[in-house]
Amino acid sequence: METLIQIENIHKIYNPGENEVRALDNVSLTIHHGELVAIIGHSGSGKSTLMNILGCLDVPTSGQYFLNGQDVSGLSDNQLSDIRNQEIGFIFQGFNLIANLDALGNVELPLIYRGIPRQRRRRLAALALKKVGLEARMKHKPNELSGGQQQRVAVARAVAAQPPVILADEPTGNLDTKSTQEIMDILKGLHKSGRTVIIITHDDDIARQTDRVIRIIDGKIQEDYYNNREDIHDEVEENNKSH
Amino acid sequence: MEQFFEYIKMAVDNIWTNKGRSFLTMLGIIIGITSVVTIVSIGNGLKDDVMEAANAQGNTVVVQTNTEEVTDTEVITGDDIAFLKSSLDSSVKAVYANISFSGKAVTRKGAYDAYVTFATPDYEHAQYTSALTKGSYFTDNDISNSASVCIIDELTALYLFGNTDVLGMTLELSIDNYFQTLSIIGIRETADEMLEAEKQYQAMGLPESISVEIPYTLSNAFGNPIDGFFSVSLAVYDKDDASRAARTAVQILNSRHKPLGDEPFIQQKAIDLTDMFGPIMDGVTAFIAMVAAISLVVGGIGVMNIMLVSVTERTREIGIRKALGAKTISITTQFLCESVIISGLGGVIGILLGAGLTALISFLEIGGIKASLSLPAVIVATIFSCGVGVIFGIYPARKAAALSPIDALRRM
Repeated sequence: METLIQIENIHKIYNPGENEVRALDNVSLTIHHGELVAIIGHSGSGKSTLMNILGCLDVPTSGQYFLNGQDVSGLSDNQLSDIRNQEIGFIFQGFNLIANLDALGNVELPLIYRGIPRQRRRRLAALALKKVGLEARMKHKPNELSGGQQQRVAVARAVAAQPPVILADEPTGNLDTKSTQEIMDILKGLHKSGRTVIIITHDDDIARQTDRVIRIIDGKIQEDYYNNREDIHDEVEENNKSH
Repeated sequence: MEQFFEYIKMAVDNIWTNKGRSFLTMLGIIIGITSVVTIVSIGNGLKDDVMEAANAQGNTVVVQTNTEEVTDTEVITGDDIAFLKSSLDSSVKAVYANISFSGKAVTRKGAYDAYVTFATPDYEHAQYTSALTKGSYFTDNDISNSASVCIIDELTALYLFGNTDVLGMTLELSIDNYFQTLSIIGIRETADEMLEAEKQYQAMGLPESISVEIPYTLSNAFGNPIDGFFSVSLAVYDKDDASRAARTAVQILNSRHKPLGDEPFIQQKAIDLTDMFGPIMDGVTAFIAMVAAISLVVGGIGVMNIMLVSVTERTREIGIRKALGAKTISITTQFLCESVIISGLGGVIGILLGAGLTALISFLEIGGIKASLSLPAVIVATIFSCGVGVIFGIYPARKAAALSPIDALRRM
């Protein structure tokens, strides 16, 4: 499989000096195209810092980061904006929709910044909303939607621009069990359709539904293993029974 | 360009979402621009009024010795005046010159201080004089003969004789111990309001207004021969012909006096009211406009303040936008569009209100002012209001754009 993400000896150090905090301590990691990965850890473990660096929202103190073969560790703010726009689709715990834009407007945002003309943009955004089952809610503002629906809008926004990587930060953290499973099903569907999906979570149940689990403790990778696919299948069956 | 319209649309959406707040912010700009436009328009109207008044008095022009260029001996002679009169076209009603002295007029009723004018025949039509009611004015013949004749007005006749029916009577005029007996050949009208005014002056203890007009050549008989005049006046029928007549007269006189300098004569600059009041009025207008402009600055600070609040409130939105690929310039443009639209729209509303107020003032003629909308003020106001948006919007916009996406997302 082709390498999508390669980070080497990444450090992220806050307050360098006496009270320095090593949020990431010499982390190296490779993720290939088409993987479904869970990065798991407790709060304060450094998983959010890793997610910020993987998402090009933050730059490492030292180390190298190759995204799709391009070294992004030394890029400027504006260049990082372009990388985020073209390579990464974000899904956040708090949905992060813009309150005064309707669902369609929110999904359109990354397409606006990519410079796609209005007509095509609208079609792409509408298509993405259709894929997450919200074609009837396109003109609704976020506060007119349930939490699960809002997160589905966020998923549509993340995939509308067809980025190679979907980066989901605790995507189900604010959702009930039913909505959680809906979102997970969508993410797994995206993975099946060939997209690389990285889920940051503290929840072992979520991690169990992925192919590969990377566990972070105190800024270091503690474990990195592949789930038995059969196990996942059983898990899903079990889940379905209990509902 | 396409994207620029998107930023404008985002800005408009946001202004619309916060209608009340945006309007209140705009109000500062609206008030500022309205006052600037209205005040400058009123100033304009006042200036137009003064200009009109200045033009209204232009039926008589004066050509005088150019005191800067020529020695003080250069004068306009009687021959010059006669030549001017024959050379100038029919638009010129009268060409005259005059010099005044004080003397004494004596009749059987007594001796009175008199204001004596030595004049040429056309002085009959001089500015600020009234028409003859009886007799006729002295002629060129009277001038060449140094005829012992005079013209007085009805008021003078009342003082000297007790009635106005004095044609053909005589009076004795003395200047510097020279005496002449003059026969009255013409009487000017004294308007009733002048009589009224004279009564009031008398009550105030002022001397009697006695005036006598005589041929200037009589000056020989008073021991003080007049060789010529330092100025000549031209009265025209239509004031539009005044300056052309003056130019012709200056040319004629200068060509007749050529040896004495390049420009021995010039047109006397009328006391130009616009010259006098123009700078004062401009100053007053500028001062008040400046005070109004201060309110614009205050309005601008209001815009900046609300934009800063907006940036703080929308930190999360900015974070989301940046995470999704917005660049520094995208965020700056979006926020700058917002402040420019707020202040620009405020400017447009202000101009409309100012134009409305101007029209209303003209319509009601408050204080007799006919205010006229000043186009430069409108243009300056438009540029200024948009400029306020840029200047006071740039700091909040840059502040917004400088936020790092993770900081912006983390906050809430």
